[in-house]
Amino acid sequence: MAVPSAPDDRAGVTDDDTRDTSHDGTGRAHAYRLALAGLLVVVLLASLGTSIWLAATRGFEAVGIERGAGELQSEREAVMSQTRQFMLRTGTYGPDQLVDGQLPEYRELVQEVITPKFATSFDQSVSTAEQIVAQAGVSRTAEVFSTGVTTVDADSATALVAGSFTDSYPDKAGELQPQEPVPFRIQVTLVKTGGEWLVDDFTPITGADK
Amino acid sequence: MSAQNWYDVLDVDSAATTEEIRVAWRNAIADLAPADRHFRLYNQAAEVLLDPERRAALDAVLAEEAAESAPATSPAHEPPVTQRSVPTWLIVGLALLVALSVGLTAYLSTQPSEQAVEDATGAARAAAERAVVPVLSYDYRTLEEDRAAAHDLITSDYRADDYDPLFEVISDNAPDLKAVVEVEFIASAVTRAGEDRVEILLFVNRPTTNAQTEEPVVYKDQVTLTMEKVDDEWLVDGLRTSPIAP
Repeated sequence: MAVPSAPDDRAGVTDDDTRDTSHDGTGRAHAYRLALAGLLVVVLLASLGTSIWLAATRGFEAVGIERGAGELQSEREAVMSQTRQFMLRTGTYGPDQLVDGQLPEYRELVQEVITPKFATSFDQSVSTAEQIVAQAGVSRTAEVFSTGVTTVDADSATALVAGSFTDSYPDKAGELQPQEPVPFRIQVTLVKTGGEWLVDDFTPITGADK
Repeated sequence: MSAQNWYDVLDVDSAATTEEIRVAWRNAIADLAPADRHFRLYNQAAEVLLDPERRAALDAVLAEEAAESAPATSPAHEPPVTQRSVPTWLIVGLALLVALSVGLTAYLSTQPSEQAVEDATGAARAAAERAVVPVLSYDYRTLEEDRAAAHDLITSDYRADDYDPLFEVISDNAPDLKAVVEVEFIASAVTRAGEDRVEILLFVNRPTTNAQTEEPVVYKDQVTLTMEKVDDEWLVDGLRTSPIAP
């Protein structure tokens, strides 16, 4: 039997301190990693949220998302394209399209780009052109120099278009002889129907009233 | 300093009976000489443990010491608490996602807003309407003044590449022809919008007189001006037109 020895206080304290320091250090590392991960998640969510908002309001052309300025310019392009089509279609006809004294293909092509309301007045005026084509053998071609959009909103727009018509008449030998081009400057009113811009009216711009 | 644990000295349990303590003490000193230093130690242990009052006092002190040491020592003997640390791959992955996302946000923020583009386009359109008259008009009697007025409204590139060469031709011929070209702005429209470069279509009438005709011949033209923003000012940087017969 042995008498128990006195405890070694110094050694005990050193062991406890070492153990506690190691434990605290690991705990701090864990806390640091957790805080860092939390911060990264917050920044990621904020950044993604901002990106989604920016893409929704300004568009993301690289992936085909058009919003804001890009979307508005696309609307302008659509308005200008339809205005150009309207002028080219209304200004292109000739005897080779005549069927029983009428221009059915011409009517169809124009009616594709105008509203039903405008189609009513167009039908009334097209007979004059059909009469001239049938009687004089005139042929007309159109050239568009430029187009631009004056105003545009969700369902209506006005556009300017400039160009010229060239009429050709058959000579005595039956050969078509082109005349001097007749310029035009026109303001076109369009409305959006079923997602498509259609011409609703047009007005010549002479500047005489200025 | 801790109290002497006399139970350990006699190697008995703290719940040992008086008889068990007595037997242990006797056994401990049986082979010892009275002068042996352990002899006295065992006797001291027996004196305390065989005295009910002193034993009770010792038990109280030992119990108190056990209570004090328990919280401090227990963690060292308990198994370490398992803490789930955030793995490195997750932090690296998150950092990469953050970098990509911030890059995407930075790219998208460079895209102009609709309002900014429309405001800029409106300003460019107004500037084009103001510029088209001095840029296109001239009077054979005031050619240098007309050129100077136009210079204030056009970019240096357009001036050097297009305007000045054309105006030289005009300057050579206008005095003999007595040419006077006025410009009336009629209407405008946007061909291409933008923050710093815009195309504007303008309809203008150009009443023109010369030595042969005092009655103005009015040319009804369309002009597309390319407007460029230079130091917060919209200037003409290009001009396209297809002169239309009067």
